[in-house]
Order: sequence, then structure tokens, then C-alpha cells
Amino acid sequence: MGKVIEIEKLSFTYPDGHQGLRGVNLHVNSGETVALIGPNGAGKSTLLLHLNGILRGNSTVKICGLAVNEKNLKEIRRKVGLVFQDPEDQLFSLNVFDDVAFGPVNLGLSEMEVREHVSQALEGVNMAGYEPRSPHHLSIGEKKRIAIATVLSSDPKILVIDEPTSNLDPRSKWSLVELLKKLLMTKIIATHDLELVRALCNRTVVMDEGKIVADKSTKSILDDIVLLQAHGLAR
Amino acid sequence: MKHSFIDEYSRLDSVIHRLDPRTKLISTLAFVLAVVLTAAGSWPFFTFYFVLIALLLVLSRLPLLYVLKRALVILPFVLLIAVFIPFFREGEVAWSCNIWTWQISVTFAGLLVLANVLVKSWLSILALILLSSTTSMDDLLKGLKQLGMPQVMILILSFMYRYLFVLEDEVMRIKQARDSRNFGGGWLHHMKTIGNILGTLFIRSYERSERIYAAMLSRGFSGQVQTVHTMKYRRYDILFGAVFGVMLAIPYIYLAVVLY
Repeated sequence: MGKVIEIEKLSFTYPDGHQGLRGVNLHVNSGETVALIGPNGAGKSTLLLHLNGILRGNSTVKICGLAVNEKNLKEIRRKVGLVFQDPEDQLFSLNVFDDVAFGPVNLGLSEMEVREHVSQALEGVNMAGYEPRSPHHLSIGEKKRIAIATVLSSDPKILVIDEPTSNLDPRSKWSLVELLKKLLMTKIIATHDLELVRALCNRTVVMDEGKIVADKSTKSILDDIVLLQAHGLAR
Repeated sequence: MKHSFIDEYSRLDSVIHRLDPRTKLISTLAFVLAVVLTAAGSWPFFTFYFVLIALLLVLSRLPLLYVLKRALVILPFVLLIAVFIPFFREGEVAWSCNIWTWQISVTFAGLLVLANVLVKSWLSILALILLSSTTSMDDLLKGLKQLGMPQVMILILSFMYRYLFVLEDEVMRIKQARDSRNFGGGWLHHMKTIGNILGTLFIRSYERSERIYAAMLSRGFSGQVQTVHTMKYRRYDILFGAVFGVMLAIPYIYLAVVLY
């Protein structure tokens, strides 16, 4: 199993001087499902934005052996499918088809391939037949699924999701968990939802104040109530 | 939350809904041109155009009341521009009165111009309602794009339409939060709150735009928006276009025949 994500001593400071990341080291193997947990403002989203080069810090991030730099950007964004927390940001087109097709079209696929990728991606999230619908007419649960389909359509090697279950009711949440279980690529999931972590991830990384404070098996982290309390994840 | 979408009835099915958006765009433009170029006071011709557009409205199966209500929207704008015309036109006086030392009079010629402007704009707005209610916004924009409208305009319109309702929801939530904490206070105080709301909205929209752009970049956006073509002219479109074109031309043909 090769390493698909290699991050060494990554630090990042926002233009306003706020330090988002301080010396983060993270290695992820192919096929792993890693949970990224931590209190608000711990730097989870900041770290995710480094995985496909939207933000770039002081040291090099390597994705599937490729360094994240201007030259490899296109290839890396194809390999890393990043789903944003708010589906209103992820779904910016006037219909579902155009949104799911956005990635494949930018890859320069032919019309027939694009259609195939779109219908496969929508089937993958149990939303087949939603192509002509407008995103603003969908429920929040539907929007979350379509948002995942918009990156699945480009066949990513690594699926990176920010808060997949925020704002979802329990039923939508568990059906989303089932759906994520069926996706077999490497997954990085940033969340506060410890039920989701227990159900889905075999490894958990805890972040706080821009640093990784723990990186162990999910079971040993969720059982370590002192650790969770120290970082605002349990009372 | 419930919004009044401009393309509210665009998912219905009728012979008009099934037309290619480009056919509808060109037909609408032609109709508006034909109406606007008709000489003032040609009431038979206006009646003819009204019957034509009414026929299409019936074919489109749009709710009649909805169309009439929408058509009222144009009135304030037209009245604002045209209401003073009757007072300034020279000609036979229809009505006059004195206010202090100032004589005000309305002329028949002026009233005719006003009626003319009203009828023309009403007919045009009917055509536009027919277009926008039978074509979904994304089809309309795709049609415009294929007819050669610049990409940047299409993008602006598309994003505007997509996020208008998101923004409206946000305003509604902010207003609800304000009203829940509003225990009176003067007019000046309220103005200040409204100013704060506007500022908040601006910042939120700005931040949202940054996130949307990041989401676009993440999916390989490189500055050029490409789309998959889905539209094809069919025989039906050509037939409709031809028949409609001839119908529009009838008053002009009639005039030509009568004059020469």
C-alpha cells in the first residue's frame, strides 16, 4: 500500500496574521478512511484546503508522490475530490447535471464520456434522475449527496469531505454514512460528529490550535475520554 | 422557503414549452419589434397581435391569472415615464383646469401617445412572460449563449439567478433574528440596523464568492467555462418559426398592399 498523502512540517499563516497550521505531519496510506476531528478553529478546513493546492503553506504537500505545485495542480485536483461544507457553495450551476458535469468537462472529456460519468456519479449517491433539477429546489440532504456526486464524477483517488453530516437529521445522516461506506477510495473526513467517526473511520487524527495532537486508531482515541475533554470534543 | 421564481411554470409541458429556447428567444424579439414598429393608433393591428399572443398563452397552458398579475408589474414603470406626455403634447384640448394662475390641459394627441405606449409595453411584456414562464432559466441562458451572447454576461446572469434566492433566505433569517430582539426604538435606530444588515450581507456574499471560487478551482476550473451541448433544432422549431414569422408580418404585408 503506497502513501497517497505525505505532509511534512506544514505551517500556514493567513494574510491577517492568524496562524492556521503549525508544523503538521500527516501520512495517509491508500485505501484508508481517516477522520479529522478537533474543536472549531482547530485548522481542519485549512488543512483540507492544502490537499489540492487551494492554499499553499511553507513546505511541500505530496499527493500520490506528486508535489503540490503550479505544474501538477491540474493532475492533483483530478486526484483529490474536495467537498465543501456548505452545498450552496459546491453547487453553483442552475441544474444538477451542469454541476456534476463541471469536473469532467474541465478535464476535457468528450460529451459521451461526460454523460456517462455524470449518470454514474449520480447513481453512486442514489440520486439518479436528478439531472434537470435546480439545486435551490433540493432538500439539504439531497444537496449534500449531489455535492459528493460533483467530485465523484471526476473519479478521484482521494475523497476529502468537510463536515458531511452537518445540518442533517439522523435519518439522512445514517443513509449518508451507508453511502460513504460503499465508496472505496481513500477518504479524509473532517467532522465534529463522533458517531460518524466511529461508524466509518479506522483511524482518527485529532487537531487543535493548528497542530496534530493525536493520530491513532479510532477506537483508542474515542475511548480516551481525557484526550477528548482536553480538546473540547467531550464534556 | 417559498420564492416567486421567474421560471415558476417552466417545468410544465406544452407545445410552447417543448420549443427550442433559441426559437422562443428569436420569436419573442421579433414579436416585440413588430409591435413596437407598428404605427401609433393602429388598433386593428394591435388587436391582431393581442389575439396572436393570447393564442400562444392558451397553448402554453399557463394559469391566466398568473400571467395577468405578472403583466401588471410593468405598469408602474410605464406610467412613471409616460404619464406626463398628455400634458405636454400640442393639439386639441380634451380637458383642462386652472390651478391658481397655472393652466393645465390634456390633449387628445397626448392621450393617444400614452395609450400607444401602454398597449405596446403591455403586449411586449406578455410576450416576455410567455418566454420566461415556458423556458427554464438555464435553458434560456444556454439559448442566449448559443445565439452569441458573451460568456461573461451569461456567467453573471447564471450566478445571479443561482444565488439570488440564497441571499433572499439570508435576508429573511437576519430580519427574523432582528425582529425577535426588536423592542421598539426610534426611526433613526432602525435606519442604523438596516445599514448594519446591508453591511453584513455584503461581507457574507463576498466570503461566499471566495468559497464558490475555491469549489470551482477544486474541480479543475481554469478560467474557461465549457458546457456540454444539448440543444438541437427540430423540424417542429422551423415550422413554428416560419408560421409565427408570417403571422407577425401579416399587418405589414396588408399595409404594403393597401398603400401601393
